[in-house]
Amino acid sequence: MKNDDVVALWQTQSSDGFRMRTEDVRKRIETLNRKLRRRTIDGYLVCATLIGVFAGWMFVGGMNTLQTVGAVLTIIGVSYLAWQIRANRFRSLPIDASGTLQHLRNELVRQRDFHHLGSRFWWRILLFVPGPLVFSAGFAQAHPEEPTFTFIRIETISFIVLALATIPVNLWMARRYQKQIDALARLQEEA
Amino acid sequence: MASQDALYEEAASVFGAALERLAGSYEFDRDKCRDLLQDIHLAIWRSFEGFAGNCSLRTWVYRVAHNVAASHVVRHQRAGKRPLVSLDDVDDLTVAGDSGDAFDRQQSLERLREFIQQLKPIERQVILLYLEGTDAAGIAEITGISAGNVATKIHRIKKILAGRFGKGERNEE
Repeated sequence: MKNDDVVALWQTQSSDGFRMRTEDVRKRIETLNRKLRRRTIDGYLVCATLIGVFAGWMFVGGMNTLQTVGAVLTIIGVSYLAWQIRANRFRSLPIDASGTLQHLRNELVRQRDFHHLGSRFWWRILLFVPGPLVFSAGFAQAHPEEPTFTFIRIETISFIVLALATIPVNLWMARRYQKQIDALARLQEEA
Repeated sequence: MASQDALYEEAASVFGAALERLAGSYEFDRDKCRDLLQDIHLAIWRSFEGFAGNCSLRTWVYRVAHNVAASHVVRHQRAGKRPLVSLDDVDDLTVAGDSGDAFDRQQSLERLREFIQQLKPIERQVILLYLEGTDAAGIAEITGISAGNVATKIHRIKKILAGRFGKGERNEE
């Protein structure tokens, strides 16, 4: 087989005749964008619900001082989370022929930075964790009777464990994205 | 300038089969290959939003397609997978069926695909473009590699193809 035969063999291989109608392309892109928007909206909804519950409770009354401080701190923490969701939301940017890999790199860097144990991560922990803990302490103070007290203790310990677990999980996620960024850099260097 | 839809329609009809071959060279798994092909089509459609006609449609389409495929490689790098090699290290490559005597069309194609899949993405781009009949200048424009480097790589590719896929001819003689 000569080189030309190899080229001919390659070019004449059977094809599935894959085609996408432009309407299908538009629909698919709209579905993808909708999914991403949905994820962001879900995040907002969770934040809004938490803020609503704590603000409503404060408005109705019946909280002691510790609970009120905890509720205010939680509202601040959740608001910060909502702001981070907004700042890190996926933006559907137009891509150009040369920029696809750069676009991917930007996305990977954005995701790595979100999980990176840098200042933004510690701010998230610092702003989000104390509120529920103070609120739980206030709740325990208001309900020293068993079994509510034990339940609050278990809930608080679980919350602390979950908060601590975010450290290795985020570390692992950041490393995973960094590996992909490195692989992409190697690929671009080769070019 | 033609509309985004019209450009996409033209690209899909002219390069549709080549894009299928390209996707098949980056992904063996049939379902994943279809997903990749779909991603390529979506990226091409989206990219036409910014197409100003500064290069040929062919160059533009291949650039987008190869970038999407390379992104696919990065995203789906599997642990424990064989490392990708460059054309210079190709002698170390073993492809199933290398020692076999049967050189029918389908087998040759499968061996060729497997061989291409083991190459580093940039060299995969060069060999795929060569197989699609793109000249050295076109390959250089699409990949961003210097023309001299492309010429060297093509020379090497021709040698490898003759060495690996020329066996059939000797068998037939």
